Amino acid sequence: MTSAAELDARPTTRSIHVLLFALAVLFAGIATFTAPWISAFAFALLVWRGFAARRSLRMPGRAVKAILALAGVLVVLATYRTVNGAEAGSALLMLMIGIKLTEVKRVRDAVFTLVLAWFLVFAALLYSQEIPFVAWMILSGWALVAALLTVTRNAVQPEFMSAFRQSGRYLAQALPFAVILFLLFPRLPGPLWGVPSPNASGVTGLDDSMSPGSISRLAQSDEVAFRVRFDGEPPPPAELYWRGPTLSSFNGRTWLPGVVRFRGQQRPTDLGNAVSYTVMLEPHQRNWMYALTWPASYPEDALLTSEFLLAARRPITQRRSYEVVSFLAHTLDPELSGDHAYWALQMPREGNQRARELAQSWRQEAGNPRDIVQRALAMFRDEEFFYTLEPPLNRGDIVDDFLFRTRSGFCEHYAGAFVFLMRAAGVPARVVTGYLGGELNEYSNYLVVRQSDAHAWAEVWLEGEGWVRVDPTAAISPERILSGFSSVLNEQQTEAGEAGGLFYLMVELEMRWEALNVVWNEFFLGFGPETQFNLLASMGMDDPDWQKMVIAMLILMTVLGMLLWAWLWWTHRPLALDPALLLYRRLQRRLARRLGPPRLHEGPEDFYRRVLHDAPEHAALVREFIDAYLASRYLPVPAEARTLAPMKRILRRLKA
Amino acid sequence: MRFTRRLGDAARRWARRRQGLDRNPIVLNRRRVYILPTRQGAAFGALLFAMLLGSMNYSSSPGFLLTFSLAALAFVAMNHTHRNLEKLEIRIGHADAVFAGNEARFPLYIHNASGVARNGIALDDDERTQAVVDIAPESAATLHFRIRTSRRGWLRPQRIGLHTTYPFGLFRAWVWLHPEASCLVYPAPAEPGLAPPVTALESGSSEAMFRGHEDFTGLRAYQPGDAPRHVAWRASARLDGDLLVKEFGGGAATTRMLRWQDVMFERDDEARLSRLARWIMDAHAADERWGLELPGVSLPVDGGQAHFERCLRELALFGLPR
Repeated sequence: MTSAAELDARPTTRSIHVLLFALAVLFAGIATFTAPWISAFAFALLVWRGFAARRSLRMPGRAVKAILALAGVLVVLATYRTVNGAEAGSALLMLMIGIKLTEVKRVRDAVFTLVLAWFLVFAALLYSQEIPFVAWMILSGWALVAALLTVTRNAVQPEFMSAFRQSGRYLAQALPFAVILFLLFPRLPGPLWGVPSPNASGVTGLDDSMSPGSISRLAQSDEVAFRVRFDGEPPPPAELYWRGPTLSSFNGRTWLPGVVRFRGQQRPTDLGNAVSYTVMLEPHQRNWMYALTWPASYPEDALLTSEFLLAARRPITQRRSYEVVSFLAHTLDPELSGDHAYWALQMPREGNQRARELAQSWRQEAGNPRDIVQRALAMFRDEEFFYTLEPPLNRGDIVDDFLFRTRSGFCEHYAGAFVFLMRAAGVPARVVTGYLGGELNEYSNYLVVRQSDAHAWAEVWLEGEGWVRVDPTAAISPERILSGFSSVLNEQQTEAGEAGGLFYLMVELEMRWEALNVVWNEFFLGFGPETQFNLLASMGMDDPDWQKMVIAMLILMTVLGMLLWAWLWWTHRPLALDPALLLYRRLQRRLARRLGPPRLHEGPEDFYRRVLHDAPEHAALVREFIDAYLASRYLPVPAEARTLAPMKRILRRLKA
Repeated sequence: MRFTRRLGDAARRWARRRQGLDRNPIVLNRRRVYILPTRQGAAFGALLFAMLLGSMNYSSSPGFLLTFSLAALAFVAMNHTHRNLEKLEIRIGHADAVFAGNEARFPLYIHNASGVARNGIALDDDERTQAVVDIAPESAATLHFRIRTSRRGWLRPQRIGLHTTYPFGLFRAWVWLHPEASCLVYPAPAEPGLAPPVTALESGSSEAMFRGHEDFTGLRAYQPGDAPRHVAWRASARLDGDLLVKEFGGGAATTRMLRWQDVMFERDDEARLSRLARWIMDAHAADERWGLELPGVSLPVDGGQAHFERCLRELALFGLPR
């Protein structure tokens, strides 16, 4: 076919340069997360290709290309130990595009390169979904469209800027269709094939075990764990204990979950103080979904465990938002039964002897479990216990070592030691991990909870009260807090007053940026089956399901398609002819019998000359007509002064 | 490959039956503009499909946005591509007569009466694209459809294709035109060398009437058939493109009668016609006067362009239905 011939054509230097420009824009974005030497490799290939196009250099042979490709794969393997995944995959794709450029000899190759480039944009968007990055990728996509527009036009190529303008126009026309598809194309709740394995770096959130150092490793991380939007006033910060896994089993070093069951739907009647909120959870590769205790209303695909943890059926590998109603006033497990009672008192058979003895002494002295709890908290408060992010290492019996030797630690030390003491004293207790507090953004009434807010606290079971939360870390007196607990426990607010205006400005900008991020996360990144249904329901669709969505999508697409069709019909229609010209054509047709059909190339004066020669009897009238016609078409007179009357009169006379 | 070729041929025959013969002016309406994705378009579609699956698997909103934007772009581009040919007004002219073996060039006048540019309009024969042109709003372009000729007689282009892949090369819209235009193909002139027999000398006519090559009298515009050695190359170089030939006056012109029986030595009729064509060319180039006698045709001795063309036309159509 003929299009094959066009594909075989050599791309022009200009189209190569536009292609390289678009790729440079794209690579600049990819370079923000790939290793510098990989980016340098890719850019070197771009620059070389630019020179080659200008100087008409020969393309390298097959051997050189093979070596380059092999080098690319090896570099990526050496850097990432894999070629899979969004990060390594993007790096490899970027290098392959660079190498592909060395054999772009035809338009066909250039188009193929662009297809690869779009796939690179796609892969990169799997890696990072931050606002600036996505914006840059949109810009890159635009540049790639401009490049496609240029390379597929080998005849007359648009100017550089004009290619951008034109492709911008096409993109603007495509945007409404894209928005409808985005909103109405049915979203599936889960992955189609294997989900990506947890991030290699490992710092994604809480684990389901706790040993010294496991939470403090998170304390340095500024990454967002989740964001929360409250429907009304947020509860006071001291109530914001976001519940994660409960750890009941202690083996002497590590706390692990006990037996976990699903709780079922029944709930007690004495719940109160309802808080309703939406959590936008970042992917953390685990099943659990953070919430305030007691979550009473939650998404259908989640389950509530016997330890009041909300758990999804599948690991959270994608950003997800869910609505929860929690009752902050509650009684957890007024009856402690069966294996829960066993796990609440489970201890290793031996070890940590001094702690056991201390607990025994409390048990003998104190009248009831409540007093035992108070004794323990008083010890943390009154004795020389320090709170630090860099605790010294505990050896041997770690509870004894912490309580009697190092006496400084992070929340997991306090929670672990406290629960151990309680169990040794015969009080049922367990460790709860999760997040505490969060940073309230005053611009949009939501809370950002970061990894640094990870926390561990304790619960003790008291007769008549059920499980009661006790936070031993909060008992440490403030002056012994050695390094910042970035949330409610210390009084960070006081610093702000002294730093002055610029600090406030920075804080404000950061807050606003965060507020924008929340909208981005909730309404764009988190747009999934649930948000889609909610949106459609709020737009008036009764009980949305995917069939209705597809029908609505098809209807809207058809309507938009018809609008486009009508608009293109309007722009591509032949423009109306000047009425004077129409009259002139009538004159030509009228005289056709004498003069033959009108000649395309002939102007009015030449036509008159032919009349003079072949039909002299009409010459005078035709002269008059042509004078009137030329005056009407070309004399600079206002439109209302133009008259077609003389021409019409002459036409009538010619007919007679 | 063979299958697609046969499919293409069947489609062409179908279009020919469906559309009939086209009369000037041909206005391209929706019914005759066909459209299909190109190979790049198919690759693009595969890319979109892969990205859609990926977006679904990873529930990636930016992925969906990218996929849907590109899909919408392709859809918009399809509409533009289709419209790019629509409402163009085409006139196909007759081609100037040529000698067999030369290219017949049919002028194709494409008028864009709309207010938007029609870019990347390509002219095709059945094998390849001959020319690509951009047509500005409310203006026209003239292309030439070329056919290499091989046989004398009337030549008609079976089919002229126009296609466009503008703007993105993802879709290819095309039309097939079946024009009435024709081209007269003269027999290919035989190799020069053999001079025609001098059969008669005619005298008595005013010498000034004939143009010989004794005395240079001036320059005039080149006409097909002028001898290359009369071209005033230096003078022509000063003008752009137009050739000038030197005119000579005076001298006695040779007069010949070119007859069928004089070329019976050639092996067949075609070779005989070629020989006569060669002699007519030579005589015309030398500004001689000649007459032509074929079975059933006799043209009296004359000279000049019109006579030259009339004689060649008789050779071209000799033995063929008129």
